[in-house]
Amino acid sequence: MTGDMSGSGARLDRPRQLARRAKTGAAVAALAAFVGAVPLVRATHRSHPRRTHSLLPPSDFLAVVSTDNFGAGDLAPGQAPPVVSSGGS
Amino acid sequence: MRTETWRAFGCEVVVGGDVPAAELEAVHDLFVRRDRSFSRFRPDSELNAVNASRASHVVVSEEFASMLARALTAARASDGCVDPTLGQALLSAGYDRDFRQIVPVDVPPGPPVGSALDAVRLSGRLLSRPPGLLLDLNGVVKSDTVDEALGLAPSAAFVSAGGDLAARASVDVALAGGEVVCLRRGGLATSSTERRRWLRAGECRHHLIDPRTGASARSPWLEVSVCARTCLQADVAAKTALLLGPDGPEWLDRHGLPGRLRAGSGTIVRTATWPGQLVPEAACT
Repeated sequence: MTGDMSGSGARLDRPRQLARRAKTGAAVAALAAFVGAVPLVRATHRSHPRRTHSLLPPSDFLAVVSTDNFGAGDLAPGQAPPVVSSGGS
Repeated sequence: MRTETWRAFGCEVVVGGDVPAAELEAVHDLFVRRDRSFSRFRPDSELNAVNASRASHVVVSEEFASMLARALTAARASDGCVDPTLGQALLSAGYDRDFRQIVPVDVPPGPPVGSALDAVRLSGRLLSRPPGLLLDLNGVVKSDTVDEALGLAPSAAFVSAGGDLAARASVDVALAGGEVVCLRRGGLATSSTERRRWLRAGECRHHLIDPRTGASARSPWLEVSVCARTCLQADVAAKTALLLGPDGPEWLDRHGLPGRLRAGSGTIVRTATWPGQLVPEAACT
């Protein structure tokens, strides 16, 4: 009886289990499709995000520049500078 | 010096030097791609897709994540002055369409909208922020693109967008007020409240939003030019000095950055390391 109930129960439960598995499978497939569309996992494995996005820490971001980076302009009269920097953007 | 020019980000891009066509094409494509991804005025930009999403967590492209990471670093380095969370404040001030289409209107500007910097988290490509928050990455996108473009064109002497430039060879640059400087390498950028400004109910507004007030900044400086190692750093420093107002020159000096600040009165203040301010060694003895 017990075995029969168990077998019957197992048979009765089977469609539900299958449905549950199908639901889970669909969810996994949907998730896989999503991850495939936006390759978050592969990107994480391919290149470490922290390294990809690293930039100088804020303390070094605006470090001192060498004073010989620039000097006075030396255009001759009549010459036009190739660039005008006036915050025009 | 030979130059090639075109328009992107609503301004003129200039590439100087004897640059082969393949390098020019790579630079051009980079500007087009960045403009397409980060424009506030293109309905199909990734920026607008992210801003429109009602989800609190959004997966973004690697390029977007990288740019946002730069913007967040810039925000920390600038003591919160250069802030990528002020998109709504810009709209509220009236900068709600391509600048060439803005016309004076009698409608007063909307209420100021403050910073939401503390609410933004970026982990790899996963962005978390309150839905409805409007990001605006233009504080870093253009100047970072200039730096990257120079890297893509080894033959170029300089790349400039709207006068913000990165150089690997000497280039003369004119500044408002008649001064000309020679940038030998690195970056030079200018931030100004005299450009990109408009009238709203008779009041002048401009695109530089002060995160402390959420409205167009009130600064004694009309224009700030800064030289730094990269165009991005120069741009961030120029914006910060302008927004800090009277404290701007001291902030630049504290970071050892050469800067030139032009006030509304016409007065020009140069920081200690700006050319001409350095005392020649011989004069000290």
